[in-house]
Amino acid sequence: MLSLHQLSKRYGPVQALKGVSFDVPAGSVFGVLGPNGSGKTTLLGIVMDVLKADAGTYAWFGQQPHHSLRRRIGALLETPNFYHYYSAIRNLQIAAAIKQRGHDDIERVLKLCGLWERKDSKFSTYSLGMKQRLAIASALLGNPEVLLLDEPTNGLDPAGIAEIRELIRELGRQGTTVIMASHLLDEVEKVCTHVAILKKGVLLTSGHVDEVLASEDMLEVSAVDNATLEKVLSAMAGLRSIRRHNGGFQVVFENGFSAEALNKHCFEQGVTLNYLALRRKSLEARFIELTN
Amino acid sequence: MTELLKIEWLKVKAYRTFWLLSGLFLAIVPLILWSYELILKNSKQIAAFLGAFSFPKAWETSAWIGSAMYPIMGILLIIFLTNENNFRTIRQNIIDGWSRDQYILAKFGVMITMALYMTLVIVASALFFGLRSGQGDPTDGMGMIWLIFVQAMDYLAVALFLGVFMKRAGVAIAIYVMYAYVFEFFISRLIDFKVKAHMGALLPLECTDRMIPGETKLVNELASQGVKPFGQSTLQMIAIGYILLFCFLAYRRLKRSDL
Repeated sequence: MLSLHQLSKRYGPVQALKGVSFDVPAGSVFGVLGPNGSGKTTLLGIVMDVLKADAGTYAWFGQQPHHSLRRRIGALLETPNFYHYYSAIRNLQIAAAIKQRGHDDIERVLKLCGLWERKDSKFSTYSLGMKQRLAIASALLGNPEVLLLDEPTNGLDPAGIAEIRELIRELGRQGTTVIMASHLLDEVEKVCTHVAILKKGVLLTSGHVDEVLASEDMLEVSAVDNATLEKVLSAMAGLRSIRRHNGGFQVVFENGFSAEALNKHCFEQGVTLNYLALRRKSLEARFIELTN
Repeated sequence: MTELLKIEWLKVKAYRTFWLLSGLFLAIVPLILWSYELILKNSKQIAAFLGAFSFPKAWETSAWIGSAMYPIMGILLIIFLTNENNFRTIRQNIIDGWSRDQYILAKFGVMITMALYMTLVIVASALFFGLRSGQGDPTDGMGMIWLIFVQAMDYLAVALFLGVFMKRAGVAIAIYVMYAYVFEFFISRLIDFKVKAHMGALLPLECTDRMIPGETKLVNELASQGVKPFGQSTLQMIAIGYILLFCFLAYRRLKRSDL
């Protein structure tokens, strides 16, 4: 759906992106993650042609970049950008005209984003959250094949965040490709099927959420006789790490050792486990590990 | 192009500043011409000598006096351009599917439409006051209409340049107004008298002010110390050169820069 090839961008002395390449598969909900200043917004700005890359190429829908392709993408970049002196309706009429779509979809997206009652109020009178909702409404205009959202939950209240999360999930289910940049990791974890992690303009990893997190499954175990347990665990082949945790141990194995196999092994060695749990390392833990 | 202009129209049709400033221009041009007419009526001899509102001179008089109000429309153009920057709607227009070329083309379209409107207001005023004077034939000297359009485009081109290069409306407007009303007059006279006579006509707005000199022609001739000034067609070429230059610079900026 979107392919990046060796994108680089420099702002004076700051290297914002350094040879970033990855592919966004069609139908995925793709999270672009990174700490502040890691180049997420720069990346999205380049593929929407509002920023110029110093080097590298990108392709939408397998085609060379062309402005008409952007009409098939609904995007919210960084801030909601609207004519302050106009109402929601008038602003969306302009957006619809540029996207070459009729005005018939405006009511639907305004209702979907909970702005229908304030449709005639000037944009300048909106709260931060309402501005954000209008930007999402504008991105949804005309059911685009791809949605590109940069920090979509900025300024929204908890209910608003949940609504947008549900909306993104629903769109993902319907087959819309969603590309989303965020630093709210639990948001991304809840909705994304794929992630790319950036740090200081460098791509650290990208791929399916399960792949990015796969090797990071962790087992928590404990037994009455923890001393013996520790010996048994330490002697196991493929052990990557072991550490004490809440009166037990957290262990990580090289090649995805299953909980069942571990249980069997311990029992055979004469240790009966009184606690065994498979813990997926949270995206947050993985993220902090990668970016530090 | 029509599609682009339709969208530009959507952007302004309910914008109060747009109606206020274009309405002001529409009202103030005939008002200022009327006051000039009233001044002349006080002295029959001067009025007869100048023949300000008899055709073909009525064209030039209206263009000369009316051009003092062109900065109103220049300010409006600056506001349009800086709004797009401040609201970051220039970004949004591109995100929504305009190419950068289309955005720039739309702004050129707005500029030409504004120049046509300015020309129309001046022409209508010239016809009104000229016909009221009852002297001469209106079809006489209609070539001035083209020069009016060129001058309007020139004033707007400077505004376009400032509006694209300056991010803040206030600063851009202040520079524009001060330049149009004070600095250029001062610099051009400095060049005329300290460097070489008539070379002040090489400045961006001054070239069109001397192309349609009105009664400043007398002053210019007296001050020229016997040196021959630029001909009207040369001044026209200078003005067109500036229009193209400013449009090109604005185009290059919008085409290349991060938005």
